[in-house]
Amino acid sequence: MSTYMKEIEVKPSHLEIMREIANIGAGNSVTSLATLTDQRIDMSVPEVGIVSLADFVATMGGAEEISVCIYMFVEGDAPGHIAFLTSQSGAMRMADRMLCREWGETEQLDELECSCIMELGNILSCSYLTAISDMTHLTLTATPPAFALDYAAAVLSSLQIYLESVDALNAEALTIQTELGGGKESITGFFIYVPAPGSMEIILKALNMEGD
Amino acid sequence: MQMVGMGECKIFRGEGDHLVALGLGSCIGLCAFDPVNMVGGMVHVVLPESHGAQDFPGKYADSAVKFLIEKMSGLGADSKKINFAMAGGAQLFKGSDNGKMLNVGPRNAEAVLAMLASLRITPAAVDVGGVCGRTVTLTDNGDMRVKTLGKDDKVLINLKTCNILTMVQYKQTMDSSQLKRAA
Repeated sequence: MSTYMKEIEVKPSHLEIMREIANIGAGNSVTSLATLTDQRIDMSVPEVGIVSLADFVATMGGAEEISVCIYMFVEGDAPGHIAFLTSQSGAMRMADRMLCREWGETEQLDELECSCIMELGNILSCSYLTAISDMTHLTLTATPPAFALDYAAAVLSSLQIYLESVDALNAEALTIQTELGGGKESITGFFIYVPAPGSMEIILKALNMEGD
Repeated sequence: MQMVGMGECKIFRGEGDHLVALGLGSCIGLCAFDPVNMVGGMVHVVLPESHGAQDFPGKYADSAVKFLIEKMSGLGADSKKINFAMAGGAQLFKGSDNGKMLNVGPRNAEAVLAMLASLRITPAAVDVGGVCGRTVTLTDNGDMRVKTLGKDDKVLINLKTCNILTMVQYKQTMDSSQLKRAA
């Protein structure tokens, strides 16, 4: 089945440059987080790929794995959709870091924890968008986030349906795996970026990669 | 055991099988059971309207109900004897002021109910809405189980006897005249 990403032939060289941009974004995030929380949370981007949202359920640990999703619509020159996903335990460890608690201390995601995870997701997403904007000189702004904490299959299917209904997409996403922290205290999160039809070409062209 | 993925419709007859739809968010798991011929089925509805699309009849409320009945009839079910129940249609995402993100679940629920009403079918149990995901199971003895996030797996209803085993509160989220129009 042909899909948007396959049609525009996103190549390994494109993914490599997205990964470089994502690393810059990660660097931006470290700076923002250090300012906000007064502590240094390292970040790295081990992998960038393309996956369909349906297949992503397995990456999240299975259909009934409880996961957190922070979704934002991206307006501007290359509109699209961005979401940050992590497991419930990943989210609890994020709350530990943001709230200066002991690693493993958070046992529940109540309003305080959810709001600071949302803030973290917001910072991370805006850092990536800034990195893309800086490299492409395109204007990209994220709208206020929506938050979900539920079974991975429920979250991803709801997201997939929403994307299909607004942009008639065959929900394929650019996924950016992100590691926060390091060593024993590391948290894995995923960014997924789903460009609206036409946006990926605009970004690649702005990076002088069209037809590359 | 058969998994019922998004847009899929699965059926069984007799003993030894059961159907599962894992992690329903805004989707609807519509279960059906003919207790006379012991034929069961479940369809995993994703969107309210097909707009004429014919590729995945189980995906859209307006084609899924008939598709489920047809498939079950193919296994020997008597359409007049089938009992129906449904679960799902939640609003998982909160905080965005983009209305579309929030109302697919309730729209799916209303669309399935409207389709059932247009076929003069009243579902025996309706567990829809809310803000939590659900896993739905239909067993070979007609038990429809619903596991809601944060709660245990419970039998909602037995579709052989139509005994309701778990009380749920169904809040109609759209105008009732829309349901009446379809009937």
